[in-house]
Amino acid sequence: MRKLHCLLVGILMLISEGLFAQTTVVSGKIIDPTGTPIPNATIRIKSNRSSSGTSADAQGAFTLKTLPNAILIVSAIGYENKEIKATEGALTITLNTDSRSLSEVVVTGVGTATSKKRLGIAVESVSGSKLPAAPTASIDQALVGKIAGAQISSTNGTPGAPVNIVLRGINTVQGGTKPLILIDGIEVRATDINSLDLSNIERVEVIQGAASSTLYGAQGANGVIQLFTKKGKNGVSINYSTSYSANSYINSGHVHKAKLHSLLTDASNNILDPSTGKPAVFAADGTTNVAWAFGSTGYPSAMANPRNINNKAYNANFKYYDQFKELFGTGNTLNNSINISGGSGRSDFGITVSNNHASDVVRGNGYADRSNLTANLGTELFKGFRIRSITQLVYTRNTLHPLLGAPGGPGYGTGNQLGTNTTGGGSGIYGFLNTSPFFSLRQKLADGTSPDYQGAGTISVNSFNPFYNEEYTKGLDNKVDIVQNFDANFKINRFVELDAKYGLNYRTETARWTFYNQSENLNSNNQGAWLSYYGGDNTGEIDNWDYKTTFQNFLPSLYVRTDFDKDFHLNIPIQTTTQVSFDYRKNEYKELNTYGVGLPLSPPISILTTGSQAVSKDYVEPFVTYGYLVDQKIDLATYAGVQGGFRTDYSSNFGGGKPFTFPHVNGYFAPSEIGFWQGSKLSEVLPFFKVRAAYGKAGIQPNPFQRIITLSQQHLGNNGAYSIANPLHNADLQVELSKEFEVGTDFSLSLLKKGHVLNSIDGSFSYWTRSTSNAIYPIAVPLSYGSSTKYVNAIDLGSHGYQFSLNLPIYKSRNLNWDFTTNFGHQTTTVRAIHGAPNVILNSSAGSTALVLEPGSKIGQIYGSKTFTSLDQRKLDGTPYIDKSDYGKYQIVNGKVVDTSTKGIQFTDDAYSFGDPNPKFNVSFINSISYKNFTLNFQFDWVYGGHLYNQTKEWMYRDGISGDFDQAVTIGNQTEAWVAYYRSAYADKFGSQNGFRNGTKDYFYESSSFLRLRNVSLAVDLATYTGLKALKKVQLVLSGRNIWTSTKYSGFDPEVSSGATNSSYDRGVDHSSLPNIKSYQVGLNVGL
Amino acid sequence: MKHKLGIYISIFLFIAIAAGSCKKKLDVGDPNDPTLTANASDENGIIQLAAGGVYINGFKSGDDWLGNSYFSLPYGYNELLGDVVTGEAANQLINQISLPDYVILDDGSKISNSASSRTVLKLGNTRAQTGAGNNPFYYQWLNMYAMNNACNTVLSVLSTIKFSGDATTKSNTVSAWCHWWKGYAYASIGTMYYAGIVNDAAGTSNARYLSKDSLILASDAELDKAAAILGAITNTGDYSAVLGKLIPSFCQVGNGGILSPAMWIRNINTLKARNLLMNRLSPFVNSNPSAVITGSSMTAMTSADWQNVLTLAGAGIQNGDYVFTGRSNSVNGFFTASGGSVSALTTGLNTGKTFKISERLMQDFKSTDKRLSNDFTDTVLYLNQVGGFTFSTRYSVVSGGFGASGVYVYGDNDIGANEVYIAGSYEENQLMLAEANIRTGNIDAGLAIVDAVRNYQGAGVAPVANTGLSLAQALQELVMERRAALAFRGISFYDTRRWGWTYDISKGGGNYNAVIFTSDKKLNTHSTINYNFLDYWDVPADETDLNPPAAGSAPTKNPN
Repeated sequence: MRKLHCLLVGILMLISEGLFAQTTVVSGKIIDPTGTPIPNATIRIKSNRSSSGTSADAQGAFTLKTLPNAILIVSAIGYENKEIKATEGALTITLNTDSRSLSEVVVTGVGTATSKKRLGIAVESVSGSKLPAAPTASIDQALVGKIAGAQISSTNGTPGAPVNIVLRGINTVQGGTKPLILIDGIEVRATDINSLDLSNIERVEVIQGAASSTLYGAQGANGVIQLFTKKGKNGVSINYSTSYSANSYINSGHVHKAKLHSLLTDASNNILDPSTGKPAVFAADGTTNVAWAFGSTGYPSAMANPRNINNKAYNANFKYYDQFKELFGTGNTLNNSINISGGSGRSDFGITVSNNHASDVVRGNGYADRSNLTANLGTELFKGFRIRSITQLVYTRNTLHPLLGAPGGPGYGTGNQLGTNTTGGGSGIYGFLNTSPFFSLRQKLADGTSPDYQGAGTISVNSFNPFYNEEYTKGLDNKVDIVQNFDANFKINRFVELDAKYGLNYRTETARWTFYNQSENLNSNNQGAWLSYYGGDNTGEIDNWDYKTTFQNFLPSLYVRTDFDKDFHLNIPIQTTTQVSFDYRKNEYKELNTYGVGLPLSPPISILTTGSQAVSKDYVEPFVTYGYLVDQKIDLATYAGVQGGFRTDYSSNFGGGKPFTFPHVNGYFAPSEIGFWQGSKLSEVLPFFKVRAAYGKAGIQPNPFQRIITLSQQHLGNNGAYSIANPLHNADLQVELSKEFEVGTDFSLSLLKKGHVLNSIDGSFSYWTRSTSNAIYPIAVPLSYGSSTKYVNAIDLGSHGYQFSLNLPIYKSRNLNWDFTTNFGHQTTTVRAIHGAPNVILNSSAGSTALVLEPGSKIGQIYGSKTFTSLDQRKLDGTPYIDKSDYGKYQIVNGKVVDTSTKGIQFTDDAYSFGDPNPKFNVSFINSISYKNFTLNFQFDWVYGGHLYNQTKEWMYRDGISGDFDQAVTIGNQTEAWVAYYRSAYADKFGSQNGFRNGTKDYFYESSSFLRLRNVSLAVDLATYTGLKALKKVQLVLSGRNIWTSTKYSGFDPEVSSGATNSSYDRGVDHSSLPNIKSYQVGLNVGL
Repeated sequence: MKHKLGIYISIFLFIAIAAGSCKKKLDVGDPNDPTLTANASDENGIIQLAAGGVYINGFKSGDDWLGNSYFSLPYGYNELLGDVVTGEAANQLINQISLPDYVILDDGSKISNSASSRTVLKLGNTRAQTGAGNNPFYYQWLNMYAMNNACNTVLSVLSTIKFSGDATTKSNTVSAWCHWWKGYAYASIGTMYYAGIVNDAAGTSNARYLSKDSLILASDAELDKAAAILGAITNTGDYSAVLGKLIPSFCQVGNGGILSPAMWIRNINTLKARNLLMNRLSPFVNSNPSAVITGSSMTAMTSADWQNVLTLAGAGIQNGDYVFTGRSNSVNGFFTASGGSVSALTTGLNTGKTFKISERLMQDFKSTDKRLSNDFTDTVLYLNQVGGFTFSTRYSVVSGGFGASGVYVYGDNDIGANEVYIAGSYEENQLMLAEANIRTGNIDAGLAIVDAVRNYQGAGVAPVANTGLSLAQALQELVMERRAALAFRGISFYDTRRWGWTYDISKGGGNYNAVIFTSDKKLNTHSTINYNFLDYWDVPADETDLNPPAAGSAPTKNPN
């Protein structure tokens, strides 16, 4: 009754405002929707131009004197503003989270929590709730498409495979593109980002440029991804999630093997053995012997014989096997996680336990299993002094088979590498792709074992049976990661804050590859084919790979903040923040690789039972760096600010020598925050508008030991042996210098103020340009020096790009909300100069595809022969290839010049660049539609303008195995599936049939543009239907990942890249990589 | 509060200064790898470098190519060009390098090659093609200069090394080792390439390209230096202790071992004889001992040259002498049993092996030769269909042979079983002696040596000495035996080159009455093969592009 009375009085007062100049005391508490206090919210009195008001304290409490019934505007960074009427007494004000990007607060790249509206740099951020529950449950996969400007691509479907990340251009050649990963302010150097628990992530912030990453020292030149883990909130909540997904391999290019053949047959279409002249049979060792219908006599090869036409069915003695079905099945992923969190006024806790178990889509090829335990504990020991401990323990177990993606191999423990030998010659996937389709992969020898080499005379010569691999090998990898962060924070007073962070990141990984004794396998013995890594015969081996990384980071910081108006009563709207930090990092990487060869045929199988043992690597790599950071930020009210500073670092890679210092500066100007704008009509359309610019330098150090001139060492029998190293080390190496300039704008656009549609758009746009000078790379030296290459500060690079993100509610009403976000990025990198050699000749690590780094060309360009497109095709020296008198011998077929007699496509002898294989832009379209209890999310990723060299296909051309061979082509009025036509694409160059086998040719250089439905999910919250109050959430989620792809690329998957993970240049080759998986997932999330 | 603040700031500064003062901790060095100054600075260290410089830099190297050593690819090219093996795979152009320009089969039909070996080789000689694995000129050059540089490095510091015991002998042993291998490297360059560089400085080079003949002179000079040092060694105990460490223990098996100084000098004489013989023409085309080759980069052997061969080979390797060999080892070897040599890449069923045994080698075995029956099988036909009209073969090399007692074995895939000859061998030396005898009129003396070599390898072939053979017939026996006995030893091309077979038929070359087994199983026994191979290789672009020839340099490209 009293409340009603007050209300009535209030209304009366409102009516009579202005008549009675009374005041009232309003007090209250500001909380978020979960009931947690929102600290430091601002309470402003509306219609009061002087913006007087107050701020809430750390517990969300405030007191304010105002006119009764005045309208108060409550705002807090990251929350939607709320207007309430001032009434006497204690109010509880709940602010809803603001989903629009500009309201967010970020800390990465600025050192201290800052609203995006007051940033001079571009910081991308995404909250954990917006990250899709990818079947891998890994953060890197979840980030694909979420960060404007970043190219994050999932390049291999093997369980546990890392993603490729390019944040902003190529900044170093040898160092790759991997960014710096931070968790809650501390570098995570030892642990791979894909080992961290996605379910435990509160939000992710990404800074891409040197202008901002300089704050983090030399390690930040490739940009920074910072992860924030979930903290407990008031009360106790329990969340449990479980999901199951069924995964299958992507084959958007419909890759298959030729269903027809052109082999020598009898009248009944039996394929004949040319040695016997009788129908071919499979020998006891599983091999057979066949021949092309028309031999090589008179031609360089049988396949070049134009009489061979691929038009016979496998319908007699040999069958056609769908080896893809035989090898690939459905992989399963099971995710479980439980989170218990809570807190009281001073303390909070959050504990998450999760497990991800993923089996490979390659049948029988084991699984990857990861368990994470995370504990985030924080407490305020005394006023202003908070301590926090964040612990993450990760245990990963992987049973994939050696040569089929198993972790291990030299250098594997340095992190974020793909399990070795999933691509390239001799590996399981490559071998199966190059097995003729009349072999069944399930073929067994008399003793029930599989054949290794399914050869057929002169074809199927690169065959290799993955099931042989599974029978004769075993892989077991165990990895433990510890990520421990301590943070002590003391806000001494409103001026001074001290913060000390210490992080320990430890990883130990032990992999064992066992190759069993294969000497009883008839195929192995007859064909001299077997599996081994070090061993020289088929008696088996055991390899032990032991990696340990210990990383420590100590980061004490001092912050001094002032507000000239409040603190000094100077009536100048200036706020300053000064940061002084010391940053000490120490890393130690150890690797010990041992092996034994010659295993017994029967157990026990251990290193002890091997015939000989050896140590192939015993390596330790210490790295110490420390430095000082000084950073000064000055804000002028809310409309302008400037931040600048420098960082000085010492590094063990330079010994105890001179430090190097790099500056950074940025600033912003937001005219929309100035009075003239706020009162104008402009503010109604453009309520917020800011321009910003930033400049910074970062140094990238040489790799450890590159400046130390050493000999190589190994054993020769029982004695040690030293040898001259290659590449030669170079004591004169300098730090690589990366410079960046960035300019951009952030804005809010109010289009249709009234109504439900498109009422506000938040957007950001950035243009950046950067350059690297002195990038280190091994440069060719004359061979007579005794080595072929030497590390030199050799390469200058230039990059530029732009990016934008738009975030808008398409429709907003009480029940239906449709939010739309698009992220766009364009970036490109050019090699500006190479010092010391005309160019750098490279091969893709995925095979023989030729790459060249050359001044003036885009990085990563592939070089090779071009298809003649006209009869007048000319050599580099200008002379025509074809004499005019010979024009009659050629014809243009599908745009290619073809010799009508040989049926061969004509390719240049000279090698040309095929252009830039990197995409012209990446864009993603993210939609979130909620209707009552239903939420539909879907994300499309469009990667445009990229190219892949389809080395997979080129190899499948070698023996006529590719499905393309079935396709008829019209040459000289005759339409046939000419074997010689396709074969020429693998083998020929001009004037030289069979002259350039497996040469790099533009024929196999294909557009890899694609549009992919990255993610779609439909969630329904059933909590309200249960009637149980304790249940906050009972969410059922059906989702799909990568389930639809539109592309012209004729390989399995346009997103793969078979080069080294995060390589700076080797990004445009597809060579027998396991394609990505598409998944259908069902999940249940329960919240208490 | 002010007091407290001061304390905190003091603590902060203290931590920062304390951590910052540890600059010494930045000097982490490289705890893994040895350095020249710290590790190759004593007796043991310099011996380790002298051993690794040869076996690792010289024969293993860092590059990854067909097989895994100098004895698989550079040796492989030699055996391919010598038509001892063929290869259908495209790796490093092994499928094209040995394709003849044309063949004429028994029925008179002619098969031509649209991409001659010499064209393909010259097209491949760019740095880009090296990167793509298409430049055969690259590999031997790389290996030999890596070895030369390692030897230069050892020699550059040798005088500063303190040896225990008889320091002079030990130091001289290492010195002889380096000069021997430098001589070997220059011999390899001068016998294969049209020009080369003589470089006696460590870690650098010069741009003065010299002719191949100058390289052979430089080789002989290095070999003479080694011989002079060896001739002065008297303390064989300390000498053997050092040499026993320089040669890996697993190579001190069979014909490999710790050579006495005298044995080593005889090895030097054999190599010098090879230097002479392999770089002069001694044409024997179509059974004509007086054949003349035009347009060759070589001059013909003179009677004085033959006398020199007689002298050198007469002082060359004797039966029972140790020679320089390589073997695989189960662990810590420098090549593998399965991939480290031509033999390893050939031995096994032909259909599954990288190299196939050539019908032209097989025709050089007499039907009664026990090596033929013990080491080869014709159970599986290899019918080439993907390149190479001379590649099909009926034969495969049997790993370890069929076990006939005392018969030479060409290939053995068991680890450590196959012996690779790195430099000269007893058989090679004797056959040089035999050829010189035959060429200088002592036909039966020469044939007696041929018989002796056949006996040495357990061939069981009826003796040919004193059977009244003509010069042409005697040379035929010599040629057949040289090809059979010295197969896989990395010198077969040098023989077919100097005999004139690899030259264009229009220039007097060609291989007549050759056996060609076609892919449609037709056996031709009187084919004519026109190889028309480049006789000496151009200097690889990887050298000339980065180290352009200085004024006065010899031509780096073979005009012939």
